Amino acid sequence: MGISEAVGQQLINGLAMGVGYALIAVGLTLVFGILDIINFAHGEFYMLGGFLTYLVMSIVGLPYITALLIAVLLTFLAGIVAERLTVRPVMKRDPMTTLLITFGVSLFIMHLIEYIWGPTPRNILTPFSETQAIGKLVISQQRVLIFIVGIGIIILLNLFIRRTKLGKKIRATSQNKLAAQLVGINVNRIYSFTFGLGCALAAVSGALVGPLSAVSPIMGQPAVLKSFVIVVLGGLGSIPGAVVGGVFLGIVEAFAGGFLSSAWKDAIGFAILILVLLLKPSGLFGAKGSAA
Amino acid sequence: MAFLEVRDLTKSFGGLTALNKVSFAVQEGEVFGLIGPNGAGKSTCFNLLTGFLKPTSGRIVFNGEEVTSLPDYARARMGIIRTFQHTSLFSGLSVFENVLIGTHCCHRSTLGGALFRTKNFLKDEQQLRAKVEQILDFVELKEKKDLPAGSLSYGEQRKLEIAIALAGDPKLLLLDEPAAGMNPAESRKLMELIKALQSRGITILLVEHYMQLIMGVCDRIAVLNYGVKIAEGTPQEVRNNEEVIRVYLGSRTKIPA
Amino acid sequence: MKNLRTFWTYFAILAVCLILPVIISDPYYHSVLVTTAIFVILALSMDIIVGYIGELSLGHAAFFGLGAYVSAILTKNLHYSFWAGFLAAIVIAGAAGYIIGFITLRLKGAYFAIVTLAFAEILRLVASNWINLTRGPMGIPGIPFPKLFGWELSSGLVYFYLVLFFVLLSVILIIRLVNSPAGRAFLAAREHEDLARSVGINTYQFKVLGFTIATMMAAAAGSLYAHFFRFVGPDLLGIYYTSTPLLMVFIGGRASIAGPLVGAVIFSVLPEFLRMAGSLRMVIFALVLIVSVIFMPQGIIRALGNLRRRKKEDGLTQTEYAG
Repeated sequence: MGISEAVGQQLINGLAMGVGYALIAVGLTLVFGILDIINFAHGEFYMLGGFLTYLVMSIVGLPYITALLIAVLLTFLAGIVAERLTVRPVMKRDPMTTLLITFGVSLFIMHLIEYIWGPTPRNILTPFSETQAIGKLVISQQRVLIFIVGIGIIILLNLFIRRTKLGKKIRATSQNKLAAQLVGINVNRIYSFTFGLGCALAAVSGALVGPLSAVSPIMGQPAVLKSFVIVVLGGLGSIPGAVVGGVFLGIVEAFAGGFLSSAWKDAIGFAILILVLLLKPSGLFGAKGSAA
Repeated sequence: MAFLEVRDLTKSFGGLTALNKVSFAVQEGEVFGLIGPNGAGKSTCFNLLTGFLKPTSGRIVFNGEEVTSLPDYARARMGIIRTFQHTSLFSGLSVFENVLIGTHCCHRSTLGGALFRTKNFLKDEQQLRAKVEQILDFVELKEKKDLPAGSLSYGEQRKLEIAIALAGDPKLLLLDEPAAGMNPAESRKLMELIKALQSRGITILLVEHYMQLIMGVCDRIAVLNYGVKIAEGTPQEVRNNEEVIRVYLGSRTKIPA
Repeated sequence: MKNLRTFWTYFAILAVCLILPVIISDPYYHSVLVTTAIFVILALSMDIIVGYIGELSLGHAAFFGLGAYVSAILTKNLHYSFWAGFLAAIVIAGAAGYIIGFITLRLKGAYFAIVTLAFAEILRLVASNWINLTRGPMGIPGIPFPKLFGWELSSGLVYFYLVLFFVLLSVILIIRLVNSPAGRAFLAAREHEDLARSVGINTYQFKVLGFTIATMMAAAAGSLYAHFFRFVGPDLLGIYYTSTPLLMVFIGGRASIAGPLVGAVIFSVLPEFLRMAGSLRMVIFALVLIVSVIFMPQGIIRALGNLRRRKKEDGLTQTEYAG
């Protein structure tokens, strides 16, 4: 294989992966934009997406796509429950408390799943396990699925926020909470829904990306760290920033994994994080970036 | 050269010029007032002087030294100490601790000195604690020294703020609307306090809305409007200045005699 | 009177610490005691960050594990003495802490928490993948026991006294630090950053200082851990060694000596008696953390203190009624 094919190969692999990253990061940045909290449990909802898909497939015996939809719905509900029970009671306290509480939720979900189903990684068998040839390049159908579904969801999310009544309420809340309250928006309900929506986006990503390798209770940890890298890159609170940042990280990691070393590709993101914080803390592509 | 020299101080936020080429000088030992209608640029000017904002252009010279680009805490160490418009205390800590923190830059000992409890450290510590007692006595908060700062009454909290500022041995004390929210009796006491501070040799610059206080304590006053200085002089001169009268009549605020 | 009572309380605690390991002769419980004492140091260091300077570190394990690895590699591979390894661990982890603090503490918000978490993850990657140095997931076994005047501190009983010495040192360090301009600057920065700066405190510089000291203490705890259990692996850089001290500090009560101490004792000793499996233990820890952050943000000691005060006040009103 020539060098240009190798580059092309990594590019399409990275692009698919990057769309997966973008999905998780968009969820994280959405929750930050509306609730003004960094959700450290975000990776756990990504894990739930993947792990619940596996469970529904293996216990109930449903096909992959149906299981994925059920898993995403369940994670959405889990997100709403988590917000009501843990985040809301401490919303008005100092920022450290909200960070800490989501960290506690993260530990709880991760270890609960590990306690019940054990730490073993599990494979999800999908109908998309074949590979697809595009010219001289080869791509797995699962990656094609990630790419198509991911882009589709991001477009739908955009339409939802811009066009629908609920979406407009969410935007209003993000711009001015007090004013939103004054015009009769139930801000608490918007918070719950947005938190659940953010978790559901992570779950879609987990259910789509999980089958590429395996799902396990600890898969959320690296995922949430990567989403942090992405939202810092894209500017905290910026959805377009998260999409661009996600695709960027996916491609950079694919190249690092393909041409340098696969063991260290996970460290690339952190190196980028440190550099961005040193040089331009408001984010590289950030529209609504904020260091304060 | 004056104690505090402000030359062509300008601050723009985006396209908006909040302060436009303002110059004035404060002499050592005087009480200098900065007044003007809402949005005149008083707060911006105040924050530029204390280093909480960085100017777009212009210079600030204090005691012969250029301080324009120094950070806020470094200016405090030189003796430029401020209070805040909204009551600002370490509300979880005791009254005594609040003032003790104010002595921060008077401590000469090092971290090593603190960890090994050297003689110098202990001596310094003892001196500063005595000084805190004195200051609390001066502002009449001695009986409340062990209470949490957050539990004081409003008037007491404002006094505590001044006590914290005093603990740092200010050469130039900047008071940001010290009478805000005070009743007439409390403001009268504040006026006495400011005069007492002046007699201790502290130069004072204050931003204030409450005209009676300004006219009562200030030696000289500068008036800002829309970011520009429109008058400067003694209270008498300012009161009779036509442009000042126009500005204040325009905003329906009467300058009391 | 209050000072005298505090003195006697500390005296009694110290006496119990000195006598307890002699009474319990079971070596298993000696190792529980050693672990507890190491966690006390780790929790005290965590308290400097979350209690005094008021930032949330989610990567404390990085410095604990770094200390353990540095000490292990120097003594096992390069045959340095325990004391050299111990000091090197503190210096290297402190340097890393300084750099992390330098980059992140000037930014407000969640950046500090994010970067500390990421740093622990990077170190875990390094420990897992740099096989030549760390033996990867297999870890480094056979780390030598410390020697004091040529005498090997190999028994749990003696090792406990060594760790206890460092616990005492940490307590003294923190008490002196807190009662100094630096410690007051930490509190000032936590309580009201603008006001702190207005009296001449360079809050950023003091936060970096506090964080660096905390990371050095964590590294000391890590080194002590490595030389007792004689094994280090990537797990030492894992989330357990961040979340556990965090839990201990928040349960016990922030910004105090007694808080982390009580928290560390509760959460080291209790699980041993309940004999819980690793993941169940963490489920319960997480649950306790969530519940206590919501309902008892002041920590157990202040909550008990408030309860007692309320009872006293109730008693007072009752006697008034009786009179």
